[in-house]
Amino acid sequence: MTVVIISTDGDQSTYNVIDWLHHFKIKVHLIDDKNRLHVNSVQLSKNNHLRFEYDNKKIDLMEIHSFWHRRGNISIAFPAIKYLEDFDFEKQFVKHLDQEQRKLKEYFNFEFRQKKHLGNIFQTDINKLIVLEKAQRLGIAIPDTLITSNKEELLNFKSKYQSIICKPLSDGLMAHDLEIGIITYYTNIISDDNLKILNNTFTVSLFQEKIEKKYELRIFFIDGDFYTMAIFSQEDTKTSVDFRKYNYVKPNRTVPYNLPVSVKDMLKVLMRELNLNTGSIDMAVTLKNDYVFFEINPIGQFGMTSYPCNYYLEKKIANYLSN
Amino acid sequence: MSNQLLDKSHFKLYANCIPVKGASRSIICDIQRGRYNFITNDLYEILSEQSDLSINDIFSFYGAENKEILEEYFHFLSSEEYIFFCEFEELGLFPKLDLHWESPSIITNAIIDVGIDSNHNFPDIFIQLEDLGCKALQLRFFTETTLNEVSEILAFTESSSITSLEVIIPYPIKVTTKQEYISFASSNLRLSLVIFHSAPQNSVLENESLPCTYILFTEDQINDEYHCGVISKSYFTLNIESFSEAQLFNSCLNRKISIDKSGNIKNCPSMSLSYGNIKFQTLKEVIRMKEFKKVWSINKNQINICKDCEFRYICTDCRAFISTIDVLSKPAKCNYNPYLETWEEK
Repeated sequence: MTVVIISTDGDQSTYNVIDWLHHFKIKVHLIDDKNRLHVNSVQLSKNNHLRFEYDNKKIDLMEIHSFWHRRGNISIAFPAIKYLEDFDFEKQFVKHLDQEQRKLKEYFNFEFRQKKHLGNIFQTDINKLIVLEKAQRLGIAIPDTLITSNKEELLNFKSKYQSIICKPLSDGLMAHDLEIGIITYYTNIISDDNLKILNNTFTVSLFQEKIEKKYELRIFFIDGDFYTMAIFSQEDTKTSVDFRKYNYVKPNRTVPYNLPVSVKDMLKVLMRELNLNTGSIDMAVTLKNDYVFFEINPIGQFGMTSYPCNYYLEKKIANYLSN
Repeated sequence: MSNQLLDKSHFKLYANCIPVKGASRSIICDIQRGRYNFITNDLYEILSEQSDLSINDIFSFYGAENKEILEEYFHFLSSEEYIFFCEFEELGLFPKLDLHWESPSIITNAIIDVGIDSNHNFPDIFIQLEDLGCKALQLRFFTETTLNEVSEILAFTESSSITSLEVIIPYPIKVTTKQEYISFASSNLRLSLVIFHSAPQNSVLENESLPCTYILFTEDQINDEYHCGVISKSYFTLNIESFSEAQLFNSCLNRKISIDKSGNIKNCPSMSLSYGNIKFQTLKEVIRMKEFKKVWSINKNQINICKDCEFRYICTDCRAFISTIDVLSKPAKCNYNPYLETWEEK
């Protein structure tokens, strides 16, 4: 039995799952971003036959039992063409090759997903706003959310709530510079000082009411099952807005949590609508015991939930892929 | 604190703060933050037997004469962040930590000893360990060797599954500069600990360039396998992996395999029983023997005296040097008395 895994080089969680797959005596083809995939042949006929090569290993789709898209992407080898900016034809040609690659990649993903699979290669970059809207439509509480470029609108929004936050529409930003250091942009509270220096119009940004939470929930979802961890981040001012701003000296308490069935049922529907069979879901329990939904990360780090709660998620993933 | 007490009706231990009862006192093992604290056996009872009661009920159960002590207890528990205050309805949302332990590796750790007459085939041994999923390896050199020689042996682990290497080597005869020590340690990124034994004095090599590798010098002469089995507070380990493993398995020998200086395959080099020799047997063949695996599950709940000790799930064990002929007797090199709460000088 063979499992194909697409991941990035150096991802420890991937290796931990592979250890379990080896334990179950299952052959693993790990496709990370070190090399390109060489397509040998694809026969589109009654019995589709897809053969490719990775890292000098020949892989036949017919022999693959299951497929896991952990993170990263596949890149298929196409001739590298150097082009001069001035020659429009060559520029067009490179674009065309990109499209050719894209279509082949889509086909790979389609074929992989006919197998038993975990993760969706074209859904790793899901849209926060669409997810929030879908969640809300299903009756899941979300924080009041405003996207605006207008100061007055923002001031009105702020006056409604004790405190508001600003977060990226996409992923967090982390930039390195030798001179300056590391700049990170996750989630921040908007202070009155922030507002003072703001122009009447600014770059369109996402704002949310700040939820006063008793504890945050990090929920790992796999094939209908939920593994939840509660994070007591409120006691620590450093992490109460964004758990990722770790406190290494006195880390937040992280303990297993029993998610109520009613919340699980709603989340199951949401995951189905988003065409995801795995992912990490961020929620919080408010001071009034309401469950508020924040976002889903389809390629979330499950290791940080697995270890503190002793969930052995790596084994559960390996089990899923090998059954 | 008292405000919080009035605020919420109940309390809950964080699942990773686990009380362990000893003969005369108990400890709370904070396996998330890697610390422990002593508590009285009375407080242990409250935390384990009465944890579903409301705080008011606990206070009235113990009566007015104990009010002050109880207040002190709760203050201690909440200021150390062992407990949080909550409502009755929340109690069921926080399950206990599941303390089962398992590993995808057939062997998780190994020791290989090298003496003057050793003639180990290292590349072959490492391939065998890789096949068993071994993650941690300790190499002990009892007799004179050079850093180059050790480097060459370690290089064979380059593409293996081993993630952590510990090396114990005699203090070099040849004068060695700090830079030479550091370049040795940085030659293999898997090295987490290098100990030079028989050194002129105990010291730690300060080096900022290698934050994940410790280089130590010790006056102890580790020239044979008898230098092991010491039980001490400084060897306590507090993390979820070792704590859960210690529930049902031996905290030293579980999933361990050793090759002594003569090539004998054993549970531990210090034990006398050999199950074969690496020249003639494979590690796999030895592991297939039921007898070999017997010691893996001798746990502290079964060992005499240890089973009454509050440190039993954070302590190491030793089955090579034990106090009597009984296989379940206490490690000989442990001088803690859990009945008197004292570490006796020997």
